[in-house]
Amino acid sequence: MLKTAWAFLKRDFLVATSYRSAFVIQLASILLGVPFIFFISKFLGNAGGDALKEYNNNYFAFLLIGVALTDYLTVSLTTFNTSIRENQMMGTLEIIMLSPTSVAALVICSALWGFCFTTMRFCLYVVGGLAFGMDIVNANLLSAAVVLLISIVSFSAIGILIAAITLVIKRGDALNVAVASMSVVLGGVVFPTKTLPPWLEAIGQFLPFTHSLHAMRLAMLQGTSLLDLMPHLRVLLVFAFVLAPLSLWVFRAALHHTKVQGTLATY
Amino acid sequence: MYLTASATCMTVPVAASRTSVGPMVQVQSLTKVFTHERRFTQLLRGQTADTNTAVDNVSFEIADGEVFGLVGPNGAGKTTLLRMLSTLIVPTSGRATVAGLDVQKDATAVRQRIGMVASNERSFFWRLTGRQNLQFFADLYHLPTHEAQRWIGELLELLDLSGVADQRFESYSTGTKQRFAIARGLMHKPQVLFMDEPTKGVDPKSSADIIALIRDRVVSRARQTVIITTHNLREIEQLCQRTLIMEQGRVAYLGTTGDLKRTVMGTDAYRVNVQQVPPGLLTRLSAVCALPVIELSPGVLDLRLVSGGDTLNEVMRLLVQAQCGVRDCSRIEIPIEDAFVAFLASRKKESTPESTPC
Repeated sequence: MLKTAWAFLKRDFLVATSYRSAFVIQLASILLGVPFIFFISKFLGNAGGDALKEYNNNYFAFLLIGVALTDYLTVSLTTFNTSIRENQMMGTLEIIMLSPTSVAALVICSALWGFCFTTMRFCLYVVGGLAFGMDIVNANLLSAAVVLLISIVSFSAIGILIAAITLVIKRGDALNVAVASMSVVLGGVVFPTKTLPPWLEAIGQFLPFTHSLHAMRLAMLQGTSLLDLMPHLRVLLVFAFVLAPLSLWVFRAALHHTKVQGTLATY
Repeated sequence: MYLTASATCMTVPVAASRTSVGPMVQVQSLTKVFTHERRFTQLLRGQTADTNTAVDNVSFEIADGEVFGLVGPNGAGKTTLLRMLSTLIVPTSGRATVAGLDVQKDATAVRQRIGMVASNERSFFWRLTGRQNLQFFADLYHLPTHEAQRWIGELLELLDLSGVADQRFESYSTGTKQRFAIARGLMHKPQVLFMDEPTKGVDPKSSADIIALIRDRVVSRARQTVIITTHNLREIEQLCQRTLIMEQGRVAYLGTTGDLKRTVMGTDAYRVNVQQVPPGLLTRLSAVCALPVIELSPGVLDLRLVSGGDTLNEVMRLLVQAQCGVRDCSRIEIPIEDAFVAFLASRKKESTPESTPC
């Protein structure tokens, strides 16, 4: 598994850096994005009232963490799907599937570079935020790391499900957009979920992103311990340990379906 | 296990199952029926989906170390058959084993033992170099790093790719890309190598080079079991011990190309070079030959005589009698393309019911 992981990481790094300008622009966009978030938060900072109280009334940090974590959500939802689709279109999917490496390993490893690159972007967001005065002195980094890890697994489970659907119906982009949009609105990226109507807030509770974002903000801004984050972690763990194996099983079933239909390489 | 090629001091893989007794590939009543997606109108009318039988009840065996050709017109089912054997398509019914392993039940183990040389040049990562591509696939096959690097080096030497291995894949010619496809197919020293139109889209010179390379450096030295599909019948003739002709998903012929020619044509071909062709000579010769005599160019005659008969004496007598000045008479090989076309034509004739007068 490690060898396969390294092979995919190396391949995707080499491909990504072969498009030098695009690679640099992607990273530089964060440096432009942080000031943008800063000025927006200055403008809207006091509009939240009591809703921002549990986040130390720090709207800049609230928004920055929301945007940075959305990066993880987006990459988790899209990277599996994109990887399948790109390999179908490039003509490399069949030849990869011909190797004796397990389907689960292929699926997971194909997303590694996406997560590594997003982690680089996440770090740049934090560094940029610090440069603009974001206060994370109280941050509990252990809690934040655990929340991030479990969140990635939970988001990825949904991403793998969408990739499985893509294998069968060939175009699953609309599903990505639907899940991402719902998560961004109901998860509270730009505003606290308490400002939503109660029924919408209730729907948001069924999304892992809502719990992930809330837990991450509490860990980074208030230094909340793992124990105190347990209600959110429990939901995320259910997603991680139930949905992740299920999604791999569904992916295998979808792969078998394409082999029966003879449509593995078609797009 | 390696076999050292003394001429080049290189090692090439030898199929690892020299000890196995049974056939390397065994296909029993293999069938694949594709179900098409239902059209909107079919859905509305509650109609069942259309089906297409791509491979129909195909059975054959391939011995260990045999080079086996798979030919047939477009849509005959060659690629579907190859994909079923390589675990990329699930058969509808029947059974197939590769190296004694069932392609459905032991798919992962089968994949470890097979190599695929795809005709699709897009099956590589074009932004990487040829060497980086090979390293990636070596990792997917879990080859130990040092062994993989050494083996990649040897393969690059073997296939004359060392000079370009560190250039981006996108910069290669089609012929070079095909050589890399062969290198990748051999990477994990498979027992069975599938080659799906290895010279597709390649110019005639490069195509001849690739075939010579497969014949001299892969087949002759490595002695792997090879299954090759191609539309170029001369390639089949040069490489394969036996050939399977598929037509409409079924086995139309299984045997050697030599037998095919004899069976189909029933003739031997001769080329006669004369100083002049007197009037009426072609008619007199045609009367004793199996097929009408053709004058290919002034003084060059193409004759087809019944195999095993003594017509040649009669032909010589007619030529001497006509005082045409015989310069040369030699037996020539019947082009495999002619035999193939004649074979398919004869099958078509057999399958068409005779028209009855009204």
